[in-house]
Formats: sequence, structure tokens, C-alpha cells
Amino acid sequence: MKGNEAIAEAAIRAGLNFYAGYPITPATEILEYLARHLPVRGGVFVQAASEIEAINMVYGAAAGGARAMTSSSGPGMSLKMECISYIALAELPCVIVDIMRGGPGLGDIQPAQSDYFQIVKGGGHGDYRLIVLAPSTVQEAYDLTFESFLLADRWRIPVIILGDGALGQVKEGVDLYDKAPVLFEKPWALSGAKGRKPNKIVPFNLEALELEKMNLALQNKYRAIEAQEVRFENVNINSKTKLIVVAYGTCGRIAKSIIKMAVEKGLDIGLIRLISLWPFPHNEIRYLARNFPSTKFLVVEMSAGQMVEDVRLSVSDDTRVSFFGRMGGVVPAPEEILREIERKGLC
Amino acid sequence: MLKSIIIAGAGGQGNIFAGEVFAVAVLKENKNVTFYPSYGPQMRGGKSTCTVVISDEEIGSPIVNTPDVLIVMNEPSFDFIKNVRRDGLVIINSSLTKYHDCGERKDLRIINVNTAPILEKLNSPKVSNMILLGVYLKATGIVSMENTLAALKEKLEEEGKGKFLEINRQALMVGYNLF
Repeated sequence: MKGNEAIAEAAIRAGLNFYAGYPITPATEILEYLARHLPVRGGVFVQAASEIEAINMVYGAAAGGARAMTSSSGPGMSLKMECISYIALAELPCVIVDIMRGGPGLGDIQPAQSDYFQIVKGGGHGDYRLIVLAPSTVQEAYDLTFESFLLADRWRIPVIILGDGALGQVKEGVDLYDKAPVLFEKPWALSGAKGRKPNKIVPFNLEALELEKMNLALQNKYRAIEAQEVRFENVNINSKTKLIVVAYGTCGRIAKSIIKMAVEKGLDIGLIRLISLWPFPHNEIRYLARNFPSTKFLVVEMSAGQMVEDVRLSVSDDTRVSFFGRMGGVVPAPEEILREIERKGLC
Repeated sequence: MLKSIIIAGAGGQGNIFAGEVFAVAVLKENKNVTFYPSYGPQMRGGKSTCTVVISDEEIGSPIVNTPDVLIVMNEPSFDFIKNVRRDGLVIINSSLTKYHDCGERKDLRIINVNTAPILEKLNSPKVSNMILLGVYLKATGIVSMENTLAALKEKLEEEGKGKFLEINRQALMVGYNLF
């Protein structure tokens, strides 16, 4: 099953009620799969006339209490940003899938990770955060998408599944285990006010003090998420590890190949593979940096270096943090990364 | 065990299909497998390749620059030969290529498959992908014919093309019994 198909199937099994989207390579199979399967399995599928329309439909469906999702890639994600900011202040749960491709501009359609700043740091206006999950295999895409609906509902926050073209297009075996989705009561939903006080969902307040209160409530929620929802995987990290590779998504699995090759060469390389990009595992990286004071860090991304800024913040010693990246849709080969490690004498 | 194969050729030759059939066959043997197609504005006659990685362990990169095996479906795909792993295997669809060796790469094992007369005999011009897949299975023994045939049936039926099973099966068997 393709990564994109696994995401779509997981969404249906998680109780997806409503999907709206607009096609874009390399994310289109999500929309295609849902067009075929969602209506016959009890949900509503809409191919919108644009990405802006799609995300606004998701906004409406989520306000109505539905489990709602949209998906896109680079240029389409840029179009969605205004509405994502609205949804963030409206505190509505939804799932948004970004299968990243080469940018900026129309760019190309090959795998990239250059939307990190946009997705993890904002993209839309205002002080908001989104839970950002970055699967690196098709199975993990399935697992995290299933769970993302639960996280969205639990925290009333948009959750982004951040993949890239390689994850979207690669096919692997997937265990489609049967698990009943956890559903939430949504007393705040705009579900028809007959017999009760009307609910209001308004991401707007002209009174500065009132808007500040709304912001403080958001920030409190974000602190709680930071305390509870950090996810990562450590591979081969111990006191002998000379170099820790930091990567996510497709680069995260490529890094696993590097570690295997390094073992054959007698090199001690570990990996911290990030699964949640927000909340970012600052504390965990800080802990490693403090406890293994001679260990260096190499951040590998398919970008000019975006996540590396967060790793520098955590390590708090720029001399210990290096970066290797390819851009424009070029996927780095494990061999070239290992060569770079040896050339720079990082290990 | 970690093995990789790249099938390289032109859109319309069924390279992606052959790679998928093979990948499904690997799955049936309870090994890990990744299948990664070239994607984009592909069209009939344009470049079309796929990479399949097979392992007993967790697979890292699904994208491989140095495959163990390369299937060359057409002339432009000779470009990939320089990247094949040392002592690797190259299977050439020699009725569509000018060259029948790997130039400087004397370390590589080469199997030339002249598909044209076979296709004529099978009375179908479209199944060179299956002939070469058959040759590959025999040369490496990497998955069983039984599982490959089951995968072929599954893939064709999934795509509503069950009526082409027999000709594809024949081509696969001819390739398998060629050497």
C-alpha cells in the first residue's frame, strides 16, 4: 500500500466524517482513495474548487462536530494558511496532511522537507501552534494518522501529518489492525441549538484584553501539549556514541541505513528520529547534549537547513551541531551522508 | 540480507507493474519490502523506473543509488549501470539496446535477453517486462515462482485486467526457463 493510501485508510478507520481537498502531486492519492472509499463507508467526500475552499469546508465541518480532514502539498498548503490560523484560535479539531515537495514557488513534485518552517513555526498569522507528526514509514503513516484524530479531539487543535513525496509514493506492507476509534463528546459543537443555549465559535475579539485572555488560554494548552505529546525514537545512543544524527520523516529512515553502514565500518553513530516536530523534543536533545558532552550532532534534512535551528537551540553549542541537506527534491543517499560524516571528521 | 533492484526503462513497458508484482511476491514470503516508483509527469515513452528493496530486517532508505541488480529495459537506461554495486547483476532487454555489455564494468554479471523473437512467438508485444522478471527470478532465486504467480494474479485482478493473466503468466515462465 502507498503511504498516501495508508493515510487515507487510517483516516476512514479513525472515524473520518468529512474530507475536502484539491488534487496536487505528490499528495493526490489521498484524495483519490477517499473519493472511492469514504462515501461508501459512511463519510462525506468533496472535491473542492480550490485548496482555500477545502480548508474552509473542513473548518465548518469541524465546527459542526465532525471528524474532518484535508490534504495537500507545498503550494496548496500556502493557500490554506489563513484558515488554519482561524481554526487554531477557534480551537477546532481537524487533521491536515502535507506531503511535501520541492519548493519554493511551484517548485517541483519530488520529495522535500522544506515546509518545516511553514508547518512547525506557523505559516499563518498569530501566536498559534499545531501538533505536527512526521511519519517515516508507511506503517507509521497509518499509525499516526489513526491517532491524529484522537489527539485533535482531545486537545481541540489541528494536527498536521507532515510527510514528503517519498513517503506518499513508496509502497510497503501495512498491518491494518482493527482498533475501534476513541470518540469524544463535543458539547461545544455547532450541532443545532434546539433545546439548549446556542454555542458560539468565533476566532475574533475586538477587545484587546479579551483577545489576550483567549491567547493565554491557547498558550496554557500548548504548554500542556508540550509536556505530554513529545514523540521520538532513539537508535544506538549510548555513552560511546560519537555522533548523533537528528532527522525526521524519509531522512529519518535514510539515517537508519547510515547507522547500519557505520556499524560495518566500526563507526559509532546514533540517531534521534523525531516523530513529533511540535512539540519538539528540546528537553531530550538538551539531556543528550549535557550528558554526552563530547558527542556531536548532525542534522539531516531535505532542505537548506530548517530544523537545524531547533537542534541548535537545544544543544546550545553551535560548534557541536552540523548540517547536511539536499534541496529541490533531491533525496540524499545514505552513502553520500556517510561520506560527508567522514570528510568532516564528525565520527 | 538486504537486496535492491532497479527496473529502468520507458513508460508503457510495464516496469512499474513488474516491480509491484515482484514486491507483492516478496511480501508473500514474509520479508520486508519497499517499492518506490519514479513519479511525476510520466508518459508513454518517457523515463520510468522503480526501485524495490528487500530485507529480513527493518528497511532504512527505500531509495537506492547502488542497486544489486539492474534490469535495463531500453537504451537510455544504460545510464544506471555505473551505479550498480560491485559484482552486481545486469539483465538487458537486448532487442531494444545497441550495447550488450557494461563497458568498463568488467565486474558485473550480464544476462542479455533477446525478447523480440519470444514476443513474436507469444504473439504479444507487451510482455517483455514479465520475460525479464522471469529471468531475474531464476538468476537470483530471491522469491518463488509460486508466490510471483500469485502476486501477478492478484495485481492484474486488482486492476480489472484478469483476462491478461494467461499471457503474462506465459511470458514469466518463458523468461524463467530461458537460462
